[in-house]
Amino acid sequence: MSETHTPLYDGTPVISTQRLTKAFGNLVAVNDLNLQVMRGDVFGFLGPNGSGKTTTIRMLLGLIHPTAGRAVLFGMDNAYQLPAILQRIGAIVETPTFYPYLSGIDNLRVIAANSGMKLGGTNKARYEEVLDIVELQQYQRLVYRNYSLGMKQRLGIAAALLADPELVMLDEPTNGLDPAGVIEIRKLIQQLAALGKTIFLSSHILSEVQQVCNRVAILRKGNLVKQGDVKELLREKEQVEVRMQREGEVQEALEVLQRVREQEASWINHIAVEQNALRQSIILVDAPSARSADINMLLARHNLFAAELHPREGSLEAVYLQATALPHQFSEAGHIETQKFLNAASDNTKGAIR
Amino acid sequence: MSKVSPSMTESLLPMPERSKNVVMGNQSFISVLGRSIAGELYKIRRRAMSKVLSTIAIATIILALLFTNWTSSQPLPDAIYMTLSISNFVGSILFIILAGTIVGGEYSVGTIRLMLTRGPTRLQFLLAKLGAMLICVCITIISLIGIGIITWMLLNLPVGHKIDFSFFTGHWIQHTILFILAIMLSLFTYSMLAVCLSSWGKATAAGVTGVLIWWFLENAISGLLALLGSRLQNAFGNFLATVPDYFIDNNLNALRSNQQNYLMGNSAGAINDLHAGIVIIIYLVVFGGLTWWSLKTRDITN
Ligand SMILES: Nc1ncnc2c1ncn2[C@@H]1O[C@H](COP(=O)(O)OP(=O)(O)OP(=O)(O)O)[C@@H](O)[C@H]1O
Ligand SMILES: [Mg+2]
Repeated sequence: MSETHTPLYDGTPVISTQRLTKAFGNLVAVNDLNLQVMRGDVFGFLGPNGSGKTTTIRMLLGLIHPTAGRAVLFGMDNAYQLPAILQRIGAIVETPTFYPYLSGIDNLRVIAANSGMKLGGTNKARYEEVLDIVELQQYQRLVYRNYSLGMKQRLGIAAALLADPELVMLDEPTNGLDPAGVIEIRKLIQQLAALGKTIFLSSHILSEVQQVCNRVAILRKGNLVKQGDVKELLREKEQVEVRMQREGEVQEALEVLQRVREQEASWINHIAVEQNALRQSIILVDAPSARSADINMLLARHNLFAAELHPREGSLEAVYLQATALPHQFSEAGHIETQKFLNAASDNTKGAIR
Repeated sequence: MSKVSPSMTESLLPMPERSKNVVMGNQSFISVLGRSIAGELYKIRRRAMSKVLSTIAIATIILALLFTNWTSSQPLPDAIYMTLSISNFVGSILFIILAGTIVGGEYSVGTIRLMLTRGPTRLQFLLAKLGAMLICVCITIISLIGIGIITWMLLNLPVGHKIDFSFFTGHWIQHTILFILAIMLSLFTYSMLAVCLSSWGKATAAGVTGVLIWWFLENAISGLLALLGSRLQNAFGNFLATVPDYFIDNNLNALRSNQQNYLMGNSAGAINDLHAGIVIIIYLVVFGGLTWWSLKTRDITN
């Protein structure tokens, strides 16, 4: 987590959208989106399939026209100054596409001709440099048609980096990459961030996003449901795991915690029960890890003694699932509701769950 | 180019230096367009299709000259005009296919996304395609004339025929050059139509079949209107009979055949050069304008 913090983060917005909206007929693919991406951010753009990520990226790049709202990049409105904006961006939109009859390096040559770069051999060193970054140098003469999926994706990243842009937008860049490739891309993103580049990364691999991004936005059905600092969002999702000495005490402890939560402890967000690998019941208290001692004290006050008390780190997965779940899915998103456990416990004298 | 947004409240972020390995060129509209055209020509050159099409064109010219020479030897100017007529006919078909492909292919492969997110505007994208087509037309016609002349020489000089340079007068040169330009304009006009239709239809087939249908319809309607006009024998009939004078094919034909008429010492045919020139220019402007407008307003998704 620590190396993800970029030295050049200076709070200047690079991307700022204002009420950006796109409707395809009746379907509102992106609704009233207000995004802020700061210079030096490694910004994770998350959301389920069809939530409008690619549509947003397309609007930012001027490929599709917004139905309402506007997008400002580098301080320029993209409805008016698109060419100047695009010169400063390298992007992959969905699966990269290239000319199938050209080799990798020849594709880069054509792209350079369309990126404001000088023609001819002048930029040959740069083509080789970016091919080297994505480890395609040995395939540079192979026609694109014969590239594997991962090689295509790598060429897409090479093309995005070609003109050394200050903003790199990657729409699911690890799609089709092997595990080593995924790790390489993570490292590459971290290197780019260290150089002061701003990265806008749309991805479904939450663990990767959690590792590289300092800020995220989560979309659900075209609506922005969360935007913020990754560390802060994770802190909100911290939990304390409580294992009681005796299985029989679980129910009692739950009741105590529930009662306390309702009456005094507003720092407890949610309580649930989970079973660990040893089929022991674990009480999960959604509370900052710093509250472990308070929980212990509360239980002790009722003569209940925890055998173990563990802080559990928040995961982006939990943040994501909560933000993107439909209301009725919410309770099933990660663990078993307390009430269900209590019901199950009263049916079953042992207190185990089914 | 760089209109400033009316509601701009943000301050422009300065652009950091690029890596020293990235050598940028001039960013004026024309320079950007020039590099885009160079990129288009590079792609055309590297396509297998261009090689196949050129081979077909060259083979047709050589075979036609071989055949005519086989029956009786023809003088050089006749061979040049034959080469030009064949180039016009074969070229029309080949350039329609090429123009349809270079535009439709961007949509079917999805590379249009790539092209439109690198900096050049949609106008520059379209102009680059048209510029590349124009350059290809010129290069092709000039090369085919060269090939025609060389073939004629190979067939005639070894068997003792001499070149009679008496045809090579200022008058001949003038009208031959204009005839060549008229052919280039014909090929470019059809290429333009193919570029436009395949851009509208987002597919190669839309351009190729679209132009063929256009061609067929023009000829069918011309015939029909001429027939109707002669039957009606009144003002409306006369009007109908003049409608085909505004068709693409008739005007391009007129531009070419007028030069041949002048060369023979005759006067222009039914459609004069000025009329034909203006009609063709209007078509080009309308096709180009509509295509640009549809491209500009379109959402690029696929
Ligand atoms: N051209 C289009 N016409 C109609 N609907 C579209 C079009 N493009 C996208 N959509 C719709 O807009 C919604 C958002 O699509 P989008 O591609 O932005 O999702 P996404 O978040 O990128 O999903 P994924 O994770 O699967 O890539 C979807 O419901 C999709 O069906
Ligand atoms: Mg997508």
